[in-house]
Amino acid sequence: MKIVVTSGYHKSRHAIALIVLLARAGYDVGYCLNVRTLSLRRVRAYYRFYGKKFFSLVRRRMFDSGSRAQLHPEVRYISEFLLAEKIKASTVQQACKEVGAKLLSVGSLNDETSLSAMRAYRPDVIVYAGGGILREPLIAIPRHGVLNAHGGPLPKIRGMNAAEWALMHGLNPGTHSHLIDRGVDTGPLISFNPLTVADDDRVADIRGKAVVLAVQSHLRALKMLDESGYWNTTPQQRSDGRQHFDMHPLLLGILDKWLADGRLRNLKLPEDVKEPANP
Amino acid sequence: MNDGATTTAAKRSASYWTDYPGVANWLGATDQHRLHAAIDWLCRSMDARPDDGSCVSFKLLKGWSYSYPETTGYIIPTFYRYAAVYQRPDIAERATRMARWIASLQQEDGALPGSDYRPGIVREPSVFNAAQMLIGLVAGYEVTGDESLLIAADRAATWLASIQNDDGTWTKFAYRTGFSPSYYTRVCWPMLMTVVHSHNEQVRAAAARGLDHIAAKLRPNGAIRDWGFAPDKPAFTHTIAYTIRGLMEAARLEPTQAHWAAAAEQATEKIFRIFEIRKRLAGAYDQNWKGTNWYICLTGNCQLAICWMRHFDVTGDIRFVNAACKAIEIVGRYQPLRPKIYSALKGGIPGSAPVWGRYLTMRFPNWAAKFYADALMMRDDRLQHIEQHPPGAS
Repeated sequence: MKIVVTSGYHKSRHAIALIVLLARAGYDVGYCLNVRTLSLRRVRAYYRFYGKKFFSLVRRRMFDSGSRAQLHPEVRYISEFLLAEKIKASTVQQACKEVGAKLLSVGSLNDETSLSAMRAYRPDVIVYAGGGILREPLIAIPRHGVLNAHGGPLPKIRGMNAAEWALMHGLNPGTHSHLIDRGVDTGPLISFNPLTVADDDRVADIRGKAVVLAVQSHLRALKMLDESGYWNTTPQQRSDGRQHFDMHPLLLGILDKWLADGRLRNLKLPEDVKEPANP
Repeated sequence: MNDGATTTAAKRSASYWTDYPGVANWLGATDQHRLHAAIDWLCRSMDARPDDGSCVSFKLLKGWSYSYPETTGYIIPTFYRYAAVYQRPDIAERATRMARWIASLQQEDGALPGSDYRPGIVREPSVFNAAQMLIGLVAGYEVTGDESLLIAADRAATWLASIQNDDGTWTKFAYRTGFSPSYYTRVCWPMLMTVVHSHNEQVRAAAARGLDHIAAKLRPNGAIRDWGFAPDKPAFTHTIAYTIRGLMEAARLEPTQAHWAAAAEQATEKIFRIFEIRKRLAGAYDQNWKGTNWYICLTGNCQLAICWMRHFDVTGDIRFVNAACKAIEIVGRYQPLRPKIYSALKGGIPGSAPVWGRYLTMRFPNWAAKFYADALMMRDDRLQHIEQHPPGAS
């Protein structure tokens, strides 16, 4: 099966893990579409989104590959996962070199460079591991679609910071594998993988665990496809859920307080989360 | 005034830099400091003139202007609330003085004056300004029990009902003669506030007529026609929020009028989505939601944050409190806490960001500080409520 992995920046541990593990599982990872970090438009958009936090984020993403970054819970879990899986690559470029995939650096996943490469390669699946919003022309290229692991239960929790919003609504966070369509997290659902919340977990731990779970969800979903030749998907209606946006630190603080006080035990799966099993 | 058409490249590029965190944000000031600073600034705006009104604004080139009865009116409940939360009887006493000052301005027929207050000059009445003063008179009555304030409020509300046209519009004593804008929902809401105590059915019926007329102006895209200062011009977020809040609060006072609530909800959700996707609000929007993006109307940010929090009160949808937190935070970045030139600016909120934006250019209006203080106090309330009510957990 011909697979393409996307990546939001050149040190994305999430993308590195996927490239290497998919190749190890025997898939033909032909390309990695890596979005260039340094474009004025992107920097501006991120600054507006993250505010002051932007600078620490850039530092963490671009320069910290060593111990300091690994101490941060959001990064620690995926770093430990890479170690456990004996993945030594620290950049997407190294991962591509290791598995013999081509690395294509693009300004946007939807630009002409990216589209023409994909049209020529004709992948079966594009595995989404970051890089911004996808437009119709790219979504239409892969035979089986673009696979995403959304960070919260669908269709209830769409959009950004899905793990945090799931907790805010008393729902079990986890990753929901689905196919990307034109809407925001409105594509057909494949399966939900609940995340285990430990007593001493805080929001940052849950975010970190969700990244690892996303990698595992992708592998599971591709195995399903590999075994039966198709995905048994459940369609979503737009009206089934609401789009959520980045959560303000004041609300994140409340979540951390709830977690510390043990007030978020007995988290529930939403009633409409189904586990469609492939025959 | 051309509110929205001017979008030169220079102005567009200005927004790239001027909506980034200001110096104040790097000083680590807490929101408590910001709230106290805003209230102190409002007190200074009151002390700048010998009467008991609050000055309309601080102009960067001219200093304090004259007292403004309209906004003095709606600063009164802000002061009472702050006084109750922070145990400041001196601030409550200021609010009562303000309410009595407003009552003293009432004319023979019950009307209240428009424009600013200048001793010896009799101002023409104003529909909108009178209604904002009602808010203060009613708050004054509710806190002090002073019947004279309620009598003044009822007389003013009756005057408003008496000059209304049959179709629910007001075309006399308007900001623009002959134009009855949709933000007059904020005329109807204070009328209904008065009715809660006066039980004056004539006033209630007039307010309902006005709101019915405006709710019918809702467009399928969530915009409401004529919600700006002039027809067919982009509306500042300030007047958009006035319109929404008026409908919203009136619907809470008259729960049977579901169509007022529905109109408010549609507009609220639309602008919430725009804000969350763009991460900021434009200074003004036209009827197709095309924004004038080179400046922010800061008071509009605070007022819309308040609308979102009121929407949360009805729906319990925490996404709206989340958006309110972000909108308020943006405003805080522009509040000078250690001004180097004018110490009078400390705690004030400019009309626009950048300060040369279209809305109240180079001025710090008293209502921007008022709505900022309101928004901060409401936000703390809502966050406390959310914290105390975790979702169906153990």
